[in-house]
This record gives sequence, C-alpha cells and structure tokens, in this order.
Amino acid sequence: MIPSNILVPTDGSNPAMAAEAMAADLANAVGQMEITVVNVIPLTCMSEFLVSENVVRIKEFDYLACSLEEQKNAQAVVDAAIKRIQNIVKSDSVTVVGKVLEAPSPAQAIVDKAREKGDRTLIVLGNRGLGGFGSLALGSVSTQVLHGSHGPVLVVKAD
Amino acid sequence: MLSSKILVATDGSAPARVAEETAALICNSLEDCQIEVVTVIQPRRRMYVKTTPYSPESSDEDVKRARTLLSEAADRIRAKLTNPRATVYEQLLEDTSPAAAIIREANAADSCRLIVIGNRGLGGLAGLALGSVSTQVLHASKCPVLLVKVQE
Repeated sequence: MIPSNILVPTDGSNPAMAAEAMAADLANAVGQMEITVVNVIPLTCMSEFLVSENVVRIKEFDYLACSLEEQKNAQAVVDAAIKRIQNIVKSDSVTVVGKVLEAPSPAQAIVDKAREKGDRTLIVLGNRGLGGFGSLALGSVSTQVLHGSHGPVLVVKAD
Repeated sequence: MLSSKILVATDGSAPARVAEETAALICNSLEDCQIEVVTVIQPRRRMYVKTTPYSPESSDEDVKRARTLLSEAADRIRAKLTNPRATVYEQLLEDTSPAAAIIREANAADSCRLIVIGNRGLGGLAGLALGSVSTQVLHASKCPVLLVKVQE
C-alpha cells in the first residue's frame, strides 16, 4: 500500500540530507503524508567513573544517559532537517514533525519507531551516516535497519 | 530527487510481487511515469566446451520462461495502475550477476531510475531477511533503492 507516514532518520550528513529531500518529494507526490524526522542519540554502557553532573538522567539501569549538550545538538539536527523538508514540501496536507530518540542501538530505535507509526510507514534513509569510514557503500545503521525493518525501506545514495 | 522512472526487478516470488505492486502505487502518485519491469536470466555454463572457459548462453526454454514471467508481471502492474500517463515496458536481461544487470539497467540512458526490489527472491535460504541479489543491489547501486519487505 501507499505510505501515510514517512520516517526519516537523520544525522545531518549528506546522504541523510538526500533522504530528507527524497521524503519531501515523495510526500509532494502522494499529497497526504506525515513526515517524522528522528535523530537517535546512542546511549553507551554505564561505567561508574563516567557519571558526572553533566548527566541528566538515566533511562535504563545499564545505560548512561546522554548529556544536555548531546540533547541540544540532536534537537538542532532535527530542527534543521525539519526546516529543509518544509522548504521542499508544497502541500498543506503534509505535516513534518521531529523527535530526538535515545537508545542503546540507533537502528533498533528506528525500526521500533517505524513499527509504532503503523503498517503504512516507509523509512527513508541515507546509505551512510557520519560514523564509519567515508567510502563505505552502506553504513552499519542503514544495514541493520534494512535487515531488521518490518516495512519498506528506501535507501538514498549520496557521497 | 524522486525520479519518474521506476525499475522493478522481479523473479515472480512473493516479495517481488509486492515490489511490483509498490512500483505501481508510486507510479499512481506521480504525474507521469514509466515502469520498467526487468528479470535477469543467468546464462548456464557450458560444461564441455574447453576452448572457452565460460560461454554465456541461455537455452530457449530459459528465455521463454523469463518472457512469460515478465509479461505476467507487467500485467499485474498494469492491473494496479490508475495513472493514465503511466507506461509499463518489459526488459529481459542476461548476466551472470543479476545484481550487476539490475544496477546497469537502472543507470542506463543517463537517468537514474528508482529501483524497487523485494527483500529476497527465489534463491537462497528461506527465512533470510535479505537475499544476496537485494544486498548487492543495495550496496552497489548509485540510484535510490526501495526495499520492500515480506515477512515469512
């Protein structure tokens, strides 16, 4: 079926920006669409000496919460992406929303979020993000999402 | 950039059929669009010809079977199309690597087509989340790839 929701994971990298543009184009073509932009802050395992006043909260016992700084940066990435998408979107029936997620595994968080959005959710993502090395054709998060997703995934390629 | 040219790769498997349907639905949302439906024949190795180590050749039967598969796929796509400005055409490809053929075809004529493909085809292990051809296409394609998932 034709999607009613598009989930765009972004980290502000070139491929992610290409994915944002693709999502906006698709939404323009379909007309009625909700685009959700997400940025995932990976939570690392807690180790006691890392805990400082910079830590705002602990989501799960074993995982260290992200710092205020990380949250601010992630929100900025999401806000910038929303703005870029809104510049391309033509129709009023396309809504663009954003969310910062915190999870031990970014890919799992993306797959779960897509599932939560329902059956008619399409994930649009870049071939690789900011992590890894430059020439990688398909990054680790993209690969994991492709394998783990329950619904369709559109991979946009960029350098 | 969303292309009005869509390439859908099929082998008649259940995920491929969902890919065909998805291509038609995307096409219906676009102003005008062309769907190219492709299937790839892998030439059989001629075992007893020693002079050439490898002789790509498909039997007439392979070609006939592939043509039938293609026209059935094209009919399924046409049945789902509501866009009067949509066109469907069939393309039979022959290559030892199906993924390479799909990628080459998507890039043909200087325009990057949107590739729509199922998560796995008829080959390989059942239960595999992502088949070998889909994986290769996802890695090597310069054009965007829409992977359609069918859960077993």
